[in-house]
Amino acid sequence: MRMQLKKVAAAMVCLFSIALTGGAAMAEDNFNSEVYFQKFTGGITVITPVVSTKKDMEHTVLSLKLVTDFVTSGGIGLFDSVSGASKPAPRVSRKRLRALDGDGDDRGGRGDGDGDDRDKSSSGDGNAELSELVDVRNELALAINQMLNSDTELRVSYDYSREKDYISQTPSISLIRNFFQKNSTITLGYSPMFDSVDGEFLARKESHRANTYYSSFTQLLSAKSFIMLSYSRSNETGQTASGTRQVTINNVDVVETLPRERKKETAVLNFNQYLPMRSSVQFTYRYFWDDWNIRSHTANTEYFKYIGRDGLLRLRYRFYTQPATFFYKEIYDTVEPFVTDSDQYKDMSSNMIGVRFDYNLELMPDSLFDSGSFEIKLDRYVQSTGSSGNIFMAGFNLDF
Amino acid sequence: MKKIYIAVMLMVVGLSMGGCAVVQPWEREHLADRIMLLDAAGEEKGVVEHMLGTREGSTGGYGVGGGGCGCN
Repeated sequence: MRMQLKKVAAAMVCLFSIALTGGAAMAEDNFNSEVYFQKFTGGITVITPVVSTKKDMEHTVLSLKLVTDFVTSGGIGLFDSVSGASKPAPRVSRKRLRALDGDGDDRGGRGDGDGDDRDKSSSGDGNAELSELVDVRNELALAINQMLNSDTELRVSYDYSREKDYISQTPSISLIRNFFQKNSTITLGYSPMFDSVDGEFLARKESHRANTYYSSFTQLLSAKSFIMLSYSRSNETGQTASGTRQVTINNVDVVETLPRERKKETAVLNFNQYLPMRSSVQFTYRYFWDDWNIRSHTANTEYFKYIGRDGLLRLRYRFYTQPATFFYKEIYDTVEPFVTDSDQYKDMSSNMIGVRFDYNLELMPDSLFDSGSFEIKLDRYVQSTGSSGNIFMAGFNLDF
Repeated sequence: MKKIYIAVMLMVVGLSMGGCAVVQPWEREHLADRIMLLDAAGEEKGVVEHMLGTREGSTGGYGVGGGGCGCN
């Protein structure tokens, strides 16, 4: 299956390359390049260049996106910085784990705790002798939007993501149908996911699958407002933990173990309103519930305002809150079937505020690109767990 | 919880359907403006959602798609 997906992806890349370089330029043709600089508590830094292009071929729109994450740690340990899960304690390398788990049972990965066999390349104990850690994630996303008739659109996409211990492949298909003179729109989507998980503390490579079903309903309320309701359901099976985190129980490191099944459901409500003085506001509320006992609420508000002829300002505020999963504990007395002390699964909330500014660029007449814009943004993210971070982005967009 | 959700959704849909007039194509100047688009900053949303997905316990709900682990 994975080989078939790779062949399909390769064929799509070839077709995209041919299509993107040929044909007359249309209204939606553009090239976009952005670089994100993310810095979080503990010194972890993620630099993410994103390059995307879109080609409009009358009834077909082709999209291509390339993303790379360069992850570095400030020297106190990559895994601690990201998750807050692993305490400063000796870690056990995969080789040692295999030796300890001689029966092939990879669950629970017991370490001997003597520190003799720690993995120098990825340990998180904060020793000055440890080198800065680096991980790289590459992502390729392709999409084709095909108008089937004046009211129906088909979207097919493929997303491939690869890092040293995790490969993800996600094809998806969506059908978008307009009704009542395009006053109402219904979208139905399906997406299977095929992940291969090879985290450092796993004894062997494992699979992680998910099937996601998505539906949405959009309704124009007036000439200046609309509402969108969406519902999605996802069933996950397999290795839901990344295999890169450990929990210390009685001075022994145990591999983070999560349930091998998860049923997730999400309902989202969007409301957009155009306001006087060339401005608008967008409200989004998301309710998420699953069988791990997470019932999360997310509220997001974005305010847009044109500044002068060429400037566009966006202000953003996001609030998120969740209870702990049924298996999360800050401290475990004994090894249990599921163990995690990651902040990701604890009772927590977060706030994010941000500002973004886009400025249209005047380009030379008759040049390759008709117009363009420069983009810059800064987000501040703070969790109730004490973790926080800043996200800075600079980029440009060219229309051709 | 499901019953509450379905009831709320039906109520919102009912209110939105009942309270809206048909908007003609020539009246959609403001709706077509980039500040009214939900996916105007698609690349940015992808990066931010990926970051949040590694730090919060719930992800998804904004469509179908992928993106890998990002857990490192």
